[in-house]
Amino acid sequence: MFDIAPQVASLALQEGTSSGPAITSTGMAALAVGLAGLGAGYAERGIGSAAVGAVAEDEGLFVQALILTVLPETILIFALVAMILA
Amino acid sequence: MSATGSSNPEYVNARVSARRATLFDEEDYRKLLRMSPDEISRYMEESTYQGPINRLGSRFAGVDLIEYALNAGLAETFDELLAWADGRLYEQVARYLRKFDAWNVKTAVRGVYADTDAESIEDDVIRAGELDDDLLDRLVDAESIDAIVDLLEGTLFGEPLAAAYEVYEESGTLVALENAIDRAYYENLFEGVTTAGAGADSAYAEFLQAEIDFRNARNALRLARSGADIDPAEYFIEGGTLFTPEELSALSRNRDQLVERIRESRYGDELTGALDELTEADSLIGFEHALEGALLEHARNAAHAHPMSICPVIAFVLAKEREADNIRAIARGTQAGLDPEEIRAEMVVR
Amino acid sequence: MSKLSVTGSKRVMGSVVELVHDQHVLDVSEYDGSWEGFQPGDPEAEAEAASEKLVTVRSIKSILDVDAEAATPQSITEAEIEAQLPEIQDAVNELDDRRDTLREELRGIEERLDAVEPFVELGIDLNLLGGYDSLEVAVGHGDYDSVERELLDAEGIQQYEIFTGGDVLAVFVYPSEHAEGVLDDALVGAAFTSLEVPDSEVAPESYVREIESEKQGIESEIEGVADELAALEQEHASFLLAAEEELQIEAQRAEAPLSFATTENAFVAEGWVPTEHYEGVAATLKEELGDRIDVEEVERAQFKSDGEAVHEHGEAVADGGTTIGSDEPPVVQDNNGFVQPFEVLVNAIGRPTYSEFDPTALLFLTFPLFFGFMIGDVGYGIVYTAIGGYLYTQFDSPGFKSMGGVTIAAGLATILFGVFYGEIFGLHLVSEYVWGGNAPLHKGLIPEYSYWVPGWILISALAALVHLNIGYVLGFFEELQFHGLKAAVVEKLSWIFAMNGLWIFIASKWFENSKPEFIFTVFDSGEKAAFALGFGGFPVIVGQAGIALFVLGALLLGFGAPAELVEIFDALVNVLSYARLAAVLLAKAGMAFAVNLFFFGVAVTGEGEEASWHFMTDHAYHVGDMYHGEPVTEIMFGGLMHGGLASLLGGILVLVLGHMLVLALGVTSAGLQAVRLEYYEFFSKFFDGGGREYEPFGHERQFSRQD
Repeated sequence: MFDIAPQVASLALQEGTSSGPAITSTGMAALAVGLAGLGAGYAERGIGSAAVGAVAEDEGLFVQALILTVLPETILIFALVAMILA
Repeated sequence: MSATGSSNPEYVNARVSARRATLFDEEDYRKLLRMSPDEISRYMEESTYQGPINRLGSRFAGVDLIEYALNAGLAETFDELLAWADGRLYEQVARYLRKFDAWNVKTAVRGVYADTDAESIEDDVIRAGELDDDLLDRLVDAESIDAIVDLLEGTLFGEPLAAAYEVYEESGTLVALENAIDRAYYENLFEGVTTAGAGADSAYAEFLQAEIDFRNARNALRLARSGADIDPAEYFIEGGTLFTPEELSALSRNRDQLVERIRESRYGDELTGALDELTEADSLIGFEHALEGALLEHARNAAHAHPMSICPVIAFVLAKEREADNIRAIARGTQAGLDPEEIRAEMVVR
Repeated sequence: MSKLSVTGSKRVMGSVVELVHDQHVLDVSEYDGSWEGFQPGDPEAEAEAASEKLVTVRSIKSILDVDAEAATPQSITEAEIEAQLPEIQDAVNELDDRRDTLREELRGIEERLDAVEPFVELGIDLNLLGGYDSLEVAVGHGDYDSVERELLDAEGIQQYEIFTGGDVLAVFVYPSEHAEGVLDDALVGAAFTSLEVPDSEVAPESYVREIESEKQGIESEIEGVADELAALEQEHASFLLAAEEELQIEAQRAEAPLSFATTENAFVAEGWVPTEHYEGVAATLKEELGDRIDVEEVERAQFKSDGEAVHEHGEAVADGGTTIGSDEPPVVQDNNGFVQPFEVLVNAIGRPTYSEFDPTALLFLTFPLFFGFMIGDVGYGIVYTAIGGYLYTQFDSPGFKSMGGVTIAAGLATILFGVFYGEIFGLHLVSEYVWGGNAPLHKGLIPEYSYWVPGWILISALAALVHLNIGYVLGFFEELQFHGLKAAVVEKLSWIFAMNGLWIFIASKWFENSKPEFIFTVFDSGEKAAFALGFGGFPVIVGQAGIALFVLGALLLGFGAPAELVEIFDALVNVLSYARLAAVLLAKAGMAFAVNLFFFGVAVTGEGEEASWHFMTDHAYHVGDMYHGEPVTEIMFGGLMHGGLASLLGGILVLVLGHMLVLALGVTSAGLQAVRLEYYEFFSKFFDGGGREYEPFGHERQFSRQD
């Protein structure tokens, strides 16, 4: 989740001087990343909650819990790919 | 934690499934059945009852230790459930766990009725539920049923008990009081649970209906068996779907019809084994165990189908209670010198 | 692993148990009750007494909170336990009871203290608040106005007075003649909850002082009891630990028959031993007990299943299966020192079973590579390595040690990649000093090198193809061995065809115009090729062959299980998922850049796609200045370092905290993403886990000696 911020920031930096439509394709891509992040975050809310519960019962589940929690990040990866291609 | 905040079934159910996995299984029971009470308490210490056994182990031994540890273990586990849950889930769990309030009140009433000393009543009290320790202590110490009714004024059992007390005074049997307690509990349980729709809530409602249906069937059979001249309809608990009070009193006199009725209902599939057993074995105990097994399975199925509802918690509560009953049966049976096969018949393992 | 079976008369059962226990190599199998006429055994008689004492010992241990660290091993006998335990038990119980009583008293006092608090606020002597004949008094929390209104409305009140202190009210009422309880009646309607007046004659403050001194007295008594308990702990810790161990061993031995199959006079016991130990155990048993027992190797399982299982029928096996329980052999992983720490990562998913390939070595080869690629920084790498070294050397727990080992490997890989990227803590110093300003690899954050980004995405995809193919091939061979050629082809080869075919098509010139351009440029030649390999895409015909292969794979898959066909896009998705390597690489680089940007500031030379960013590590630049022979076109940020002392101090804080944050997020993003690729994308191709740990029957004495 934290990974997007600098991406978007660097995008904004690159976009500084251009002019054109209100939202450029890069801007749209950034939006896509943001929305994907929102989606991933929402998905992770439930998983994270369950993961914390499972770990509280059995510390040995820590690694699995972490992995399951970050599974939804995949959607962000696709968003990032879309952004780079845009 | 509290009734505020949003419901957190993910967290609670993750913990509950982990706990479920630690319940004793077939292999554990196979070993326990061959152990002496002291070995059983050691086995418990090495599993989920470590806390209670360690707390009580320097003072008690044998079956006593097991019984105390089981009750303490149940209370501990169910208090944890409440500590985990938030929001609406908390509320539902708390309402369900009031069955221990009902149990404790019944225990106190029975104790006074049978003139049991306070200490033995205390032993049977399970300190889960909403009634606080102070009140429980006073219930245990109460000298008369009248006093118990007074103490419960203002709780959900207050009014129904007061009303039933008059009946009790006339008849002199506890049935009215016990029934009033059950009814108060189930009425409270249904508040805020919708039966409509197909969501998690209706799954819960369906489970509660099953619990009530099974309880009605059991009560009717018990009454019919006892030969007492009491109409089962009077002790009918509202909320089930299978019977009306009138039907129940008719069916209780003809067990074959009752069995047939259940067989045709939506519980038929789950209860096939139990029903066959009942027709064949002709034992009420066998049927009650079968019913209990069926309810456990029903709860587990509901938990499986609705992982985001309260159902997994309920399924766990039932399974945990059953575990305690099983261990108790083993400990008592072993002490009474029964052989493993005989004790096995007293247990419900699902 | 070999399955050892011992059959004998019940008279020697105890000796067998003792011998096997001493050997400490047999992982006992449970009797599953499947043999006609064979019951699980009953525990030996000693089990009961040992258990009873064991429960007591453990309970005392927990009450005393015994510390195992400080204990010294001591010799112990049953007689000693018998003699000493009751004494300790009584002493502990008595102290514990006393502590309970005292705590109860303390609770009572605290309640009284809470109850008197409002009266302190009110400030009226307690004896003035009651005991009148002609006055009615009520004290409580409430709303002044509401109370007053009710009093004015009420009948039978001649006079009233309300005193307040904080939010506490004391209401005094002088009722009319013959009127009784008027105050209570009046207050029913008011917003008022009454408090009980403590039973005391003095001013509330002195009453509080009284209670508090009482409280202190009890608290110090509790402390006294705690000291006594601590003294008991000191005195008996070693004894308790030794007794626990001795009793535990006794109970373990006495209960061993629970796992055996027994008849009236005979027993059968089975368990797994590492094959190399089999002869030793069997010989010892034979030597000691001779003809009274029969020892056999009834089954042999070898890791990786290339050895055939030996199934022999023992004499005692009349019906049912050949063994008393059909359990899987336990698994002992066997990896060398460097690879071994990665077992912790594999075991987090599950111990490999006998039929599976142990992927630990592959994890050792790929995980640090992924991690190092994503972080790729000499500075961070050194820190990670140091943390790993600390964990590895300073902890005894195998879990921490293993995590330390994994972290060291990841850290070293990070350093290695850092050298190639030429970065240390996000600065390009390594590039300058090692590579003369021209590192061989670029992360692609700086616009000048942004053409590397698509390159990294393709590299990620290539890594994915290699990684996943290994997974599928392993899966293929496992299927081949256990479910035959057909299963291996439809379940694994199908995927190999589909995935490789699809990606050959993607890398081909067929439909070139509908594909992103970079596929054909990054490995080509010329200025914009990150890796000048001269590869401009496969010819059209190869692409068509790729699609054919893909379709063939899909058909095979559908042939095996039509429902699986919907999963066919995993051939695309699983590979794309590795793009996280490139994504995290950029994100980490971006974060490190941002931290350094705040501190050093950045001067920009060139414009647009040609722009280059430079940290102003030596002094501040201005637009128009020359930076290494290039005119500065823009100052992205001036840098806290160049803005006076306060700014410098703030900047240092940002620098340190910022880099720490990047380090920590490096673990959660790079570490987790790498591990996820291993577990989810890679393992799912061939690995299920679920192997059983090898737990030999016996006990390693720690606290007790037998003389």
